[in-house]
Amino acid sequence: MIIEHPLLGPRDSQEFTCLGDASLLQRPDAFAGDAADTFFDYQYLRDNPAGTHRELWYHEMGDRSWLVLTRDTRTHEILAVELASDVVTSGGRS
Amino acid sequence: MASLTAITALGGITACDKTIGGIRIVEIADCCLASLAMRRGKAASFRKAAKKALGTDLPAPGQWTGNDTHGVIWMGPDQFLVEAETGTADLAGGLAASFGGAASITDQSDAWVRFDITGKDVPAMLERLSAADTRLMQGGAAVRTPIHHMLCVLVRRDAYISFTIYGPRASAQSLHHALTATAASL
Repeated sequence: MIIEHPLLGPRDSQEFTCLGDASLLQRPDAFAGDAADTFFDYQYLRDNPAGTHRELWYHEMGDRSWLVLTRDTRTHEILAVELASDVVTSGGRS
Repeated sequence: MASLTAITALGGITACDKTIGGIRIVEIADCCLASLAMRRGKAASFRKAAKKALGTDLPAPGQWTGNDTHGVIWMGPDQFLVEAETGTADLAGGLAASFGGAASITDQSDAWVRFDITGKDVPAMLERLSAADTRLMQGGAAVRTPIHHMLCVLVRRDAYISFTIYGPRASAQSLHHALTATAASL
């Protein structure tokens, strides 16, 4: 499997580690009143879609950047690769 | 103070220099290194200080730039490895003074082992060691990629078949074995 790194181009998947659902980037507010419930969801509950899925990948044996991969779970086709830092900053966080 | 003798990454008094078939593998012991990482929100002052302190532009992703005094390898987004010859007085300290609060700098001289490999069979050797497309690397290209499960940095210095491999210093013997065994198997 080849992953098209946004900065470095096509790289072998053996250089990467999958870190799971990209929803981990949306960490809830720890000081909100319902923090216990939202952290339970954040920590333990995952969607398991048959189709398009966004997940975090770490370029561990490379430039150590975090990526957000959009992958079709039925075909393993990779539809998009973005830097996680870009995903987070475009969502309004620094 | 006790009289101490410096040893190289491979444990020798002098650097190891081996020629196997069409490949020469040289351990480079006289190289100072420092990591250079931009601090958040300091892009403008970081680039200005880099130009002044290093005398060269910062490399693009997957690239290396260099001049007579410094080499700069792209290691990750806004992260670089700076090379200088031993004898450069306090590389990390000098960079820290030049960059002020725009960068985080750490001395890396004893963290890596450096091997320079030259010879016409180098492309054939590297394609056995690494999944990176080393045959397509042009002069000035630099990639971080695993060799025998060790995270290494491969730098193609120029248009000639001359590569530098940086690997973890604690695994210097293992990396050297990987290189020599592959060179011998060609």
